Amino acid sequence: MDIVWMGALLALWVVVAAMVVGLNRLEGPNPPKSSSNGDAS
Amino acid sequence: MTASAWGLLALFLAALAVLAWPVGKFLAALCNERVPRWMQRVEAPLYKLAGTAPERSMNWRTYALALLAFNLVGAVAVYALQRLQGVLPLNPAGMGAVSADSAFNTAVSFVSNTNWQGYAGESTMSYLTQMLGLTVQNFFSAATGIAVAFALVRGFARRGDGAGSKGLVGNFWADITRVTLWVLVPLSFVLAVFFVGQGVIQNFDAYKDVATVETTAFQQPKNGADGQPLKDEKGAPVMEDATTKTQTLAMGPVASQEAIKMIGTNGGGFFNANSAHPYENPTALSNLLQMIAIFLIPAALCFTFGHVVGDMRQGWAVLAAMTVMFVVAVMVITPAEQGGNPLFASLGVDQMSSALQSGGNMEGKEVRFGIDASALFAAITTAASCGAVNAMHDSLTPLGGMVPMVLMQLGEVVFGGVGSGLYGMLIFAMLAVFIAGLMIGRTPEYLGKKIEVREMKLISIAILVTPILVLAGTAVAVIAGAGKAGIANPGAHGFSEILYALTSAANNNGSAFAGLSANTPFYNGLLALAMWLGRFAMIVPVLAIAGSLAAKKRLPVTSGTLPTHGPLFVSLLIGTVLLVGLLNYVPALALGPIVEHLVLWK
Repeated sequence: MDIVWMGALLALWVVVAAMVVGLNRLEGPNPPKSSSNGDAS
Repeated sequence: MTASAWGLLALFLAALAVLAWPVGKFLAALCNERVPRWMQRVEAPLYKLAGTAPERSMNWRTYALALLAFNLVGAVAVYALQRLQGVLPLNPAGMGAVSADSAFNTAVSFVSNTNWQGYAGESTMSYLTQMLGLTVQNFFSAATGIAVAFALVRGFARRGDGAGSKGLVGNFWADITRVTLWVLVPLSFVLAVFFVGQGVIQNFDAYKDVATVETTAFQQPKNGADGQPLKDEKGAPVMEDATTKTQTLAMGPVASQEAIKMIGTNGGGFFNANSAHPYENPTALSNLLQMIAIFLIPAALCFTFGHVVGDMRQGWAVLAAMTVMFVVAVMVITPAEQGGNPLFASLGVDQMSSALQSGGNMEGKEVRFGIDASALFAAITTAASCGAVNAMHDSLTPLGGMVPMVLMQLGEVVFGGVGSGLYGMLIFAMLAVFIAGLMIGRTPEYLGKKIEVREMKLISIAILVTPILVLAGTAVAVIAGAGKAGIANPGAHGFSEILYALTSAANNNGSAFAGLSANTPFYNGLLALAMWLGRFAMIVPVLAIAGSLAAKKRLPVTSGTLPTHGPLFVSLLIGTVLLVGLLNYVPALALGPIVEHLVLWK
């Protein structure tokens, strides 16, 4: 049983560690692409 | 509210303000990394041993990974201690190994500063486990929360140079060392000595069997052949009569755990009855000091915030918003309990307050404390994410019980946990300036830092984590057979018990409607999941925000800047907390305590 619950703890830890990696890549919206034709609207 | 209830509240707030100011100033010095030379000399061997240097500031990712690694090691250590306590010393009562699922729940609970207890301390834990496992984590989990608050406050205070800045937020190892060594340990030592003076026990004696003055008749739940409590066809527990002429008095090193339990807003009691036990909370004075200790660091951190960002008015504004919401909560819970139970009134029971009795709803309350001190304690312990109790919350009136639940559901930002209360409230403050920015058509900024798309995404994650855990967890528990099996009171109150448990776990409070039988593999697993993610899935985006803010330039105040220190902003902040924090839960509250109230007073 110890392996099961320690595995659960490790899984929970991996989730939050993955958040660190994921949120590091979280950025604002991509800057609008420059277009020589201008916006349609 | 009676005059005595107002008087107690006023005394509490006045004493808190006087004590929190110097603590906040000292915490500001630590946050600014201005440590006297002699303290540096004491710390130096610890840093050398750890292979780090306090001046080596970290970016938010390194800070977060260090924090997560530190807490993982803590959880494994607490788990191992519980499983091995049967063969370890300081175990005069001969406690065996804690079951694997309960040990897992408790390890996560104490590491996450929740201190939810599915077990009864005096019948489960050895002295070594209580001291080396639970008390140590009381210090470290509290220090972790303060460290995260430090990182976020530094994010506001630092003057980054824009895109090229590394967004450094401090050194996690230095923060946790300094907070533990120079704040938590000294405060806890002083408070523990005071508690011993009041009668809290501190010893390693074996439990004592004493003869009672008279034979005591009582009822106890009848267990089946499988050791589980039997239930009748209505789901109510089957009881059997019993008598006893002796009583076993549990002993132990209580005062040393009691002090940090309050100072660190941990809340895990040495005994099952927590601060309702006379060995944990013997006198009215110890009760008052316990209440002040719970709010001391959360209130002090508001002053720290003001000091570090260089504008004390900002700290006062956050403190004012917290205080207004707290006082309103006390003004609801105290009359609700003083009003008593209408079903008793129809039986002719005198529930009026008089010189001889507290009056009101005294079920589950200590006669030593009465209505006023019990209701105030309940509001304090759930406004802060402490979870210690001096009365049984399951026995509060429906409206009285809803107040602690709502205070937790606001996200534990009304003073909140040590560190977590401040960083939670600052998340709401940023959301408030964003909403204000939308209304007046300006880019939102708080303390000179622009709140942009990345920050708003992170704020959204931080705010949504706990409601999702609470509501989804409650839904799973009321659907699953294993979840329904733990309900002691079928009906609306049973739903309230489950909602309270998930609310308490995901918001890292730890108090309980104790009618729920939660020491089962199902609840131990579900609540551990809620506690872990409610703590660390919130901390990670908060640290990301800290890093993002630290990298930003600090803009000068102009005539177009939204003032964030006046009554208007305080009102906006309170409105944001109530609307965003509370609206998620209104349907669930309607199914639990609101239905109970309407049924009781129909």
